[in-house]
Amino acid sequence: MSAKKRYLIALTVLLLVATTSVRAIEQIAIQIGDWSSEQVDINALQVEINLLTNGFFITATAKSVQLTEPFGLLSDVRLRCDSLRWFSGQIDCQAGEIEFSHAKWGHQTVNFKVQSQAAEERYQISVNGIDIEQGELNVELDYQQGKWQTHLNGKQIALSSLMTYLQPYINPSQLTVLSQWNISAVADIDAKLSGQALQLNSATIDGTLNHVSFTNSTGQYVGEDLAATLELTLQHDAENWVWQQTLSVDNGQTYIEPVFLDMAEQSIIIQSEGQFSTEEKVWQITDLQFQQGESLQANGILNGQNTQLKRLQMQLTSANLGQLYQDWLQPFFPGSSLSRLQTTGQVNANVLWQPEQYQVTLALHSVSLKDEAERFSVENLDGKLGWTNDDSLLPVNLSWQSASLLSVPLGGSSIKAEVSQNQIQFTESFSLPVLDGGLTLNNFQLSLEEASGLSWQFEGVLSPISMSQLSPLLGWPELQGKLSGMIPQVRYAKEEINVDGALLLKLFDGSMVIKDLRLQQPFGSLPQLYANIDINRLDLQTLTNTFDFGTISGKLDGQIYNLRLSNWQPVQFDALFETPDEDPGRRRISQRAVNNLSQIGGGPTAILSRGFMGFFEDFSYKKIGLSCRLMNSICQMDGIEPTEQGYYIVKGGGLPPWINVVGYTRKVDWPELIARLKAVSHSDGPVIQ
Amino acid sequence: MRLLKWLMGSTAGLMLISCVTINIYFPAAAAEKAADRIIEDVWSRDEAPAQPATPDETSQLNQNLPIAMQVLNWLVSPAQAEANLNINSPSINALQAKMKQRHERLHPYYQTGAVGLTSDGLITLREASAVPLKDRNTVNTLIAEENQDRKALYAEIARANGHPEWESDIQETFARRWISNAAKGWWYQQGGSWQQK
Repeated sequence: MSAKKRYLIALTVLLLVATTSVRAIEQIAIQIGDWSSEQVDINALQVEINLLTNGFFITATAKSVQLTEPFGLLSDVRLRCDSLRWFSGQIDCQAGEIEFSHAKWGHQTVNFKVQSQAAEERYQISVNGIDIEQGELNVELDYQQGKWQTHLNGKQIALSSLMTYLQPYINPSQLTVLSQWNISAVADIDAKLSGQALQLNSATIDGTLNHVSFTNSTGQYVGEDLAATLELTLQHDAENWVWQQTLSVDNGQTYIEPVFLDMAEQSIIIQSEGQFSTEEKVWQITDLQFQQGESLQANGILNGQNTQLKRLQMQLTSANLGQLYQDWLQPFFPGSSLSRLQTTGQVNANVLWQPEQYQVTLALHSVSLKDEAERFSVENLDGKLGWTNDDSLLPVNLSWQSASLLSVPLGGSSIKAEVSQNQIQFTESFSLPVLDGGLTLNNFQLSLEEASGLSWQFEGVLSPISMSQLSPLLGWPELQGKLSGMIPQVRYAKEEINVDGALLLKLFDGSMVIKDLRLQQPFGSLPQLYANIDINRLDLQTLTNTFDFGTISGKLDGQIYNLRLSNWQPVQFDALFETPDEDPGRRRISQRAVNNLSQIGGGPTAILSRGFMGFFEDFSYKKIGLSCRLMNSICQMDGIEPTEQGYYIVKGGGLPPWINVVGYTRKVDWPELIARLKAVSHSDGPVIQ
Repeated sequence: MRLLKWLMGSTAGLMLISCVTINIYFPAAAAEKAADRIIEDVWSRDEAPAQPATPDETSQLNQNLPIAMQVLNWLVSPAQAEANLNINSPSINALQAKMKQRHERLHPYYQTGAVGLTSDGLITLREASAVPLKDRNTVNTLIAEENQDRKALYAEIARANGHPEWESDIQETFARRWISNAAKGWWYQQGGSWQQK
């Protein structure tokens, strides 16, 4: 500070002292010029003091006041105090006003009140009407011997403008984090803070936030036009912070990947109480409550250190599983077999989590699940189930009224089982009614491991199911017969079901044995079924009558090997059907069946034989046989033995009249063959004269 | 005599080798043609019926033909199947129809760049912020289902043609063809970064 300036200050002070003692002087104007200290640089300061009966009326102007950062430069500063009282060490300004311009804060006209008792180190300041863009902030501060209390009241404060004020106080690493977010909000806020020196001791904050929007740079966490109210109290004792908080959000939408919530439709309330130790950075949420209407209510206790969760215990309740599924479950399985469910019912859950250890128990009440693609469903599921990766035993007790799988209706049943170490094991054998029969499972065991995924296995018995009920459900013509089987083992792993042993299908007085059955991705885009089938002694008469094919009598053996169904449609197989050598039965073939067979085998026989066929109703044959190797939508056909140009499908024999049917076509377009077969079974057959 | 034996032996050997080599070749040109046919159908947004309807039409037509002609047709159609990669199985047609239907819903997201084509023949969410919040999960589901169908399609074409081991070749072929057939303005992945057509 220059010697000249010191002199000026000294002069001012002298003059001030003089005015108080000389009553004759009622107004003093002082031209101070420049004033400078470590905290402040004042340029062109003028002070005017008027003496009133009850104190002073004081005005001061300065061209500029340079304060230390973060305040910076104030220009065109004008300060006025209508009533300045100064007695016995106390200085009061009951009504003051300060006006200035600032690069960031714009032009401000702020009212203030000051009361100071220097001897007691007590200062009370209240500042009203600080403009923060469209909003306004009022501040009251009471300071006494290092302790302070402040009351902040803001109306319509935009967060973005607040950030310009706060930026200098935020450290660079926090700024980097904040720069990845785009946040805006308008807040009405009422905050009472108290503390000592630079330490905050307690805070009570009530806020109403409107038009809250936020998004991170990748768009994974987004809020749009949220409206919320916040109540927060904070208390600092010794080394701990203790808080209580209530946040309710009742408008707007959020997307916290992958969960989307529409708060305009259903508001949410989050309440918490807890404590945080500043020394050890250990925190505990002693009571956390989350409420989202009927969809989800949760409460719990959480412990952690720094940003690490150490323990979680929660109870969850949903009175509306449909809403819970839509909001909280479905988004986690896009495109899976669980991604399009219709769900109803109520669920309670208990979750206990610690690093590398968890337990979940669920209680279900009248739960129904239905796949929109109609691949599976279950109705009125009730009971308890659980899952854990530790060695405690959780009981499972579930029952349901009805269910369905791939359009086959299943009856009600119940399961009793135990869960431990990522495995569930049935404690009793389990029977599932399937149409008029049923499936009995023994030694069912399911495990869900992080590395290998879901796998299960069981031994089973399929008690006879009527094909007359099953076949229409599979989109087949109505068949007579029974399906049953002893299944030594069924295993599921890596999205593939493997059936050891055989399923027995009793059909047309004969049998079909289905072996080496494999099913890949049963609920995937394109389920693949593989099998080998042996066919024994079907009765042709029953078969041909069922399909309205004309009549053939006799027995038929066959095999369908390397069968592959893609999306339940046959796309590949090596099939062979022929009259068995042993005990082939009485063998006759009707005129209509001859015609239909010849159409399948390429047609010309029908033309050639028209001449004499008309005389007879039916013919006897020695052997009948046809093979088809399907690949690439082409059926490579053959018969029982070659002729010069083709192959025999039917070779005559026995008592005349007998007939040969010869096929000429070796390669047949499969979809066309199917179309022909359908046409044959629906047509009245060719008319032969 | 020895010479003759040697000649016969080596000829047989050569034939054996050539048999093996033929099976290893992946019909790249045919695969591209097949991929283009499927892509053009899936991405065509006109009201015309999908291509897979043709087998039914031909069989109906055939019923009105003289039987001798039908026989001829049967003999001719397999010859074509041998020259091309067959993509005309009921399950491929079903997948194709599903994908075509889904494309109606995905199309706007390709246009805005929200969804892009990956270099491995699938699709992914490229620009989440281009999707309104309430539609985010719908788009995620569309993408997941489309990718499942695409993977199933590549595997099924390989299996249907008797070469399950061609699956990755088919996927690569499709990856190139999806990008090549993409409309102007759509985004695709190349060498780890996004490019716009």
